[in-house]
Formats: sequence, C-alpha cells, structure tokens
Amino acid sequence: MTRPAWRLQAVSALAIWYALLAGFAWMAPYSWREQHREFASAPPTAIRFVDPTGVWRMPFVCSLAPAPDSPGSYREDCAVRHDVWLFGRAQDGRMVVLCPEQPGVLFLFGTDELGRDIFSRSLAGGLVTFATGVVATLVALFLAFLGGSLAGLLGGWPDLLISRGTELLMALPALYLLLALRAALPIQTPPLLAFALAVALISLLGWARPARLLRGVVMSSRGEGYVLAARGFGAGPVYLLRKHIFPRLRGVLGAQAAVLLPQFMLVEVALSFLGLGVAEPLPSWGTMLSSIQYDLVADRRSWLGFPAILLTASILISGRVARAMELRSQPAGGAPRETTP
Amino acid sequence: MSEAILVAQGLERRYRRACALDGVSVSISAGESLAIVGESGCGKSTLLRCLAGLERADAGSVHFGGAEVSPLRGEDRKRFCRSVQLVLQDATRALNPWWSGLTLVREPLDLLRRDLSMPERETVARCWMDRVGLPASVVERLPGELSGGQRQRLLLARAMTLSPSVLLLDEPLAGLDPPIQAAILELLKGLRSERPLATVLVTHSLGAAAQGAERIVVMRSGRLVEQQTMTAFLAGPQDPYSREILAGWQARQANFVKSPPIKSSGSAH
Repeated sequence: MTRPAWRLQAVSALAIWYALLAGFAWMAPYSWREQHREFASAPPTAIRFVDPTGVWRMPFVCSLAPAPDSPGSYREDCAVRHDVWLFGRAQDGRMVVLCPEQPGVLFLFGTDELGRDIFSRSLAGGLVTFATGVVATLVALFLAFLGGSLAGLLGGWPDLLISRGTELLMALPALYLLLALRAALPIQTPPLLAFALAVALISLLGWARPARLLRGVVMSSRGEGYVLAARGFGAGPVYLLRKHIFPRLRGVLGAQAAVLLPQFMLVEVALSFLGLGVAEPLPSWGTMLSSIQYDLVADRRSWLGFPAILLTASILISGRVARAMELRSQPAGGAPRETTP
Repeated sequence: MSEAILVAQGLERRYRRACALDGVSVSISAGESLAIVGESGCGKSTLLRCLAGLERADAGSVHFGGAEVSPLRGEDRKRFCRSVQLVLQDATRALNPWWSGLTLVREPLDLLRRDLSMPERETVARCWMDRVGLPASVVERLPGELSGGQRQRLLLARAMTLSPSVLLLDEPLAGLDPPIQAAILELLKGLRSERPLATVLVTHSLGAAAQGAERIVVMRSGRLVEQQTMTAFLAGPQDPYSREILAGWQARQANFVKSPPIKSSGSAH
C-alpha cells in the first residue's frame, strides 16, 4: 500500500471510530444520567427474532419484569413483545439508535446498580475519556514544544534547566507521582473541576518525554547544512524555526500526539478507576470500570466490563494511526543520509 | 591585479583541542579565481565559513570592502550576505529535503530580495536553474529525487540568484563522477567570464584546482604554507609540503598516461 493511502486509512479509521462514538452517544437510547431503579443491575437485554411459537418476526424484545421471588433477578415474558426500531423516535421525540416500542426497555449491555443503561453510559463515558486524552495531549505537546524548542535553540543554561527537569520527571514513577499529586488536592470536587484537574495532572507529567524528543530534533536541525545555508542568506532564528525546523517538528508532533493520546486515555481510565479522576455522576470508562474491581461483581455482573472492549478497540486504532504518522515524517525520496566519500 | 575585496587577517580558530586555523591571512581580489588545497582537516572549511561570516574566529578579522564583517548587523549584514555566498560541502545536507527545487533556489531571494515580487523571484530562480543546466522538471522535484550532480548545480543556482561578487565553494566536486566534475568546473569558468565574480574553490584535489583556478593557496594543519599563481606553483613550489603534494599528483597523472589509452573527447571548453 502506498504511504498516503495507508496514512489516510489509519487516520480515517480513528476519525470514523470517534465519530461513531459521538454520533451514537448523541443518539443513545437513554441519557447517561437516567436511572431505572426498578431495573437495577439488569443483564443485557436480548434482541429476539423468533417468538415462543417459533415464528420469525421483526426484531423485538420481551417484556422485562423484576422476579418477585429473588430480588436482583429479572424475568422475561415473551408473550408480550415490543418491536425494536433502528433509528426510531423515542417518547421524547429524540432520534435513537435502537428504539424499543413503549413501554418496553432495551438495555443492550445491561444496567449498573442504579439502573443506568451501560450502553448509553459507555458511549458518553468514551467521549469524556477521549476528551480528557485529547485536551491533555494538546496541553502536553504545547508544553513540550515550548520546552523542547527553547532548550534546543538556546542551548546553555536554559537547556540545562529544561533537560534536567524533564529527566527528573521521567525518573520518578509517573503513576505514583500522579496519585500523590492528586491525593494532595481536594478529593471532593465538582465533576468539571475534577475533569480539569485530571487533564492538568496528566499533561504536566506527560510533557517531559516529547519535550526531550523535540529538543533533540531541534538541536539536530540546527546543525543541518540547510540551516547553515539559510543563515548564509541572512536568516534569523525565527525564520529558521518557522521555515526549516518547525516542518520537521510537525511530523514528530503528529506522531507524538498519536502515541500520547491512547497513553493519556489509559492514564485517565486508571485515575478514574481509582476514584481520583472524573467523578460520578459524569461517566468515563475509568469510573464505569471501577465497579468491577470487586470480584463478586466481576463474577456475577460481567456486563459491567463492557467499556473495556471499547477502550481496547480505541487503543488499537490509535496505535495504527501512530504508525502512519511515523511514516509521514519522512520526505519522498528518502530521508537525507550522509554521502559516503 | 585589481583591488582586494575580501581580506582575512591573522584568523585563529580552535575547537576544544584541535586547532583549525592558526594565523591565516588571505586576500581575495575582485574577479579572481583562487583555489585552496590541503588534506582533510587542515582548516579549509573553517576558513571558508569564517570568510562567509558564518563562524566567528577566535582571533583575527575578516574585512569585506574595507568594513569588518563580524560586527555587521541589519541592512549592512544583508548587503554582505548578498555579496559573499558560500556553497556548502555535501549538497545532500545543504538542501532542505522537504522543499522543491524552485523553493530551494528561491530561498535566498525570499530572505534578501524582498524588493522583488514573488513572480519576479520565481523568474530569477528559474533563469538560474536553466543557466546552470538543470532540466525544467527539477522545479518541482525534491532533493532526494535528484542526482548528485543536479544537487550540486542546484546549490550553485541558489548561490548565484543573489549575483554575489564572491562565491565560496566548499568541495563542490566531492563525490561526483569525473565528467560531471569537469562540467561543474566549466560552468564556474563560464559564470566568471560573464560577470565580475571571484571564486574561491576549496578542494583536496590538485587536478580540480589546476583546472578551476588561477591562484592557489596550500594549507596544512591550520596554516598557509604557500600562496602562488597556478603557473608558478605547477612550475615549482617553494614549500616542501607543496612539493610533496604536487609530486604525488604528477605521479598519479603519469600512471594515468601509462594505463591503456582512453579516447579523449578533445580539449574541454
């Protein structure tokens, strides 16, 4: 496959994936905060095609009711059928991906202990996790760009300061540092502030590695023949950075963004899993997965782990994009090599 | 001989331990062609970078048209850059691998000739690319897609767009096939016949120096050991090291003559 095609394919795969996520979150059967207390911890609802008499029908769900004898379990009554429509209109007039006929309920991936639809919450939570990852990546790369180009262009004591600083950051185990910092800040915060805190912490700890990388690229470009030649044409540092050095950084920045995004999303998941990231009732894949850390739950209500599948898929697609970005940072005709005399 | 325009006096330059220049004085007159020869690491490239104002000497000074170069700023510095152009060693690295041929050749004009409009700059760049013998297709090619000779021509075209009065060439023939080396030397000769242009050719090959210059300077470990006109030098150098390299070159020439004859295509012109 040619390079542009491969890049396009990978980037569009990522775009399609998150567009689907966003679109479906917008058209989710239920709102992420909607509670169905009467259906707490309900297992995934089966979509059926064959009724009890063995006749094929349009997709339908059976009527669901709590079992009177054992609390927490549910009984399907397939004598009462509710048709399911793809992209139907819900009661409130919203367009919905999978719409059960009233008064039927459809929990594609079950519900949690408050009776909230896991499917709807996974989609919304994915967006929260993705947004945390994207904002943290942008902030971290901006910091890295500032630090890296200052250190690389100026050299001397700014370089010494920035380089030793990044080394110190990288030498400390990031997760523990993150937990310590987060623990030092107030635990009970409004959801939006908790989101901002998570973003700030992740990017503050994550900028060191890309900064070192960018510093190296800036330094090596500074020694390139074409940069020396441009100086011979009277070019100043701003021109050099803009015309000769930044285009080289762009590829690195793109590749770093593709590498950092899944990493930061995982960090957000880890933070929220431990209850230090995005806070309830705002869903994120981390907060949602935190409910399966008790073995009893993982055993009996495995559907709570559904966000993990989405998370894995997101990380895998991001990996593909990172690879494509890496290829992009090489010019046609190959990267310049030193000629052998 | 006409007046000296670029003059270096007592240049000294040290890198950590190695001494690249150790009291070098050399002067370049308008329109002359000078060759600087010497073995690798003798300080030729450092001397050129100092002459081009891209590197500051630890001691000594470079004067251009009577004014010292290193304190030049702003417009004066630009005027100096326009007049003295350095063609860097290793054409592969001296060209930004992401830029097309035309953009590369246009770069000096973009920086130093803002008075020209973009179409004018492109016309000048295209003219020079044509003058140095590059096919029109090079305009949109990247350096990685060009041959070594084409890259060298591109460097020449780029330096010439500014119509400098001094052209400093750092090993312009390195890594090229002999016919292409000869063509580049011819091109330089042609450029000098058209306009008042002084060329300083740094090379480690005495053959190229003899073909491309009227005056020669021999360097050894950061010092000038000999300054001569080419004819006087070929007749008999004063310095023992110069005699050594001349003898070595003549011996190799003799070997060529002894080896089975290759039909020569007549005298180059």
